[in-house]
Amino acid sequence: MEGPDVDLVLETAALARLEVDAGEARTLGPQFAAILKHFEVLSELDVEGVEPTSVVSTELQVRTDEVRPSMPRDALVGNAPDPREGFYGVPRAIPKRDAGGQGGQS
Amino acid sequence: MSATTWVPVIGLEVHCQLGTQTKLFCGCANRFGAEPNTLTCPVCTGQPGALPVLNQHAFDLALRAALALGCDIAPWSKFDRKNYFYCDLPKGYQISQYDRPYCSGGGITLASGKHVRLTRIHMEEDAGKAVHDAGNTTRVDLNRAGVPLIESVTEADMTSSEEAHAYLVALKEILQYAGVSDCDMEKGSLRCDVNISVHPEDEPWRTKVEIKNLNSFRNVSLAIEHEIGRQIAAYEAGAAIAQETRLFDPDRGETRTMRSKENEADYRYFPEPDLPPIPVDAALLERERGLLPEPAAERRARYRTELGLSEYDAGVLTSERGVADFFEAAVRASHDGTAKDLTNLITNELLAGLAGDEIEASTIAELPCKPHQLAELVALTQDGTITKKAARSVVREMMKTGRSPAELVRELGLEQVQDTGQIEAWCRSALEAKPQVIDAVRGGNDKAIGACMGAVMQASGGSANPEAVRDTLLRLIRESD
Ligand SMILES: [Zn+2]
Repeated sequence: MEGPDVDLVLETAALARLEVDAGEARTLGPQFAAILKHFEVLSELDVEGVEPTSVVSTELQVRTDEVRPSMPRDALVGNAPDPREGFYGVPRAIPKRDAGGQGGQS
Repeated sequence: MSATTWVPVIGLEVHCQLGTQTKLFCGCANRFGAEPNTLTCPVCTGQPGALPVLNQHAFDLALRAALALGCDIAPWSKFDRKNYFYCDLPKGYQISQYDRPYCSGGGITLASGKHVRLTRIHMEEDAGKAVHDAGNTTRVDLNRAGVPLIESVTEADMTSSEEAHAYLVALKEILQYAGVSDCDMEKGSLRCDVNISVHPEDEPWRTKVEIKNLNSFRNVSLAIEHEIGRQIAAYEAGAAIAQETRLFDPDRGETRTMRSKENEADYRYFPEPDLPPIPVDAALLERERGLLPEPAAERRARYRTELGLSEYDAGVLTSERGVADFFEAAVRASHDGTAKDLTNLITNELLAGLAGDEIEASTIAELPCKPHQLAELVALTQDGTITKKAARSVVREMMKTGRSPAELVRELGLEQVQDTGQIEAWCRSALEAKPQVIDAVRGGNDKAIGACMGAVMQASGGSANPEAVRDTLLRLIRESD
């Protein structure tokens, strides 16, 4: 069975931050293909006249803009691997030369 | 050598935090400046099984922004997951809107007459904040994670840093007036990314570069100026411009390439399965439309045409919605023709007082004195009870205590002396002290009377009505023939 090419497997792995080498990618390609093939079984279902949906419920629940208590900091940060003075410590997210800045995307 | 005329093409993406009490999908407070990670819960820290519930008020404010900017509201919209890995994004995805934003179109007409079109506005949640230590660690604060944002995207309609700046100023004014956001860039409530390219006149557009990390209007201008120069220099040297994301470095005043990892653009959007589509019903739209204030630009025009104020005064009064609202409430409580006097008291006394150290309040609405009291004070100058100069001393007291102007006038002894007998006595002694004034006035020099008026005003401690003094002096000079 033909699978996705090695580059696509490597790209997908990179996006998921998974370490996969070229050899593993060659093994994974056909396995991906088998899994995707299995999903095609679903397309055999007759959905004529059925509204497509991507959510479990179609009734939107909303809440009023009232503050509720947040969780005690220790209950959350305390369970993280590297709590630092109330912050979550994580491995440095940007190279050293960018020191001092505030990273992030939005 | 014929110089090429380079034309810049600029578009802006502006993130604006909505002024809600709570976050977009949980009840944690939306508040700047709290201790790190004290405003978080299972939802906004992305714990397994936690489910988002939409904050209705956040959506209402987003709608109001769209209405204020003349956008077309979609009958329904939906949320999508934007997937990327970064330490400030606990779920591994941001809940945003991709192919069904809640509105599209609209725009802002700048003071220059230039119209800048909006492509769309969508809602999304903010990420947390990552602080990179000097060592090998990054520290993450998730208080901001989940704060409601609207991201507005313009068409590439601007051609200079001045236009981009004017657009941002106008956008901020509109959003502030509509009560959508405080738009405080220092707190990160308003953040801006710039898309920019340059091309020779009469040639097609070239590669665009995105600049991030712009946290002040000044930096937006500086970054655009720098980037226009950098791109032109590259093209003129025969080099190419790469399509990339650059960061502005405010210390060096230049832009530089972002790490390639952060350039990753494959966000693999898919519909957020935990949130059903959001419908907009007509009643909600009408209610929000009703809450829209008159825009600042229209108020400025009205102050000039209906109230006869100068362009400068109208500009100062509308610089903040709170000031304009205060002024209008005072005008409504006053007689016609007092707008200029009210303006002078507001701009010269109230705003100056707020800017100084003596007054605790930081906005005009927080002052203890209220618009109707300012109207009462101006009425006291109009009926001659006090002079305009005395009114200024009174308003300085009013803004500290909120006491009534009539009471303060009595207490400070500022009532003008209307007692004609007393005024005549002061005038007689002034003329006796300066008999030469009588001759001068008889000789046609009316201005000479000023010397006596000064003496009378001094004798009365500034409480004599200047017009009454003048009339009395002239009458006494005539009678002394
Ligand atoms: Zn929360």
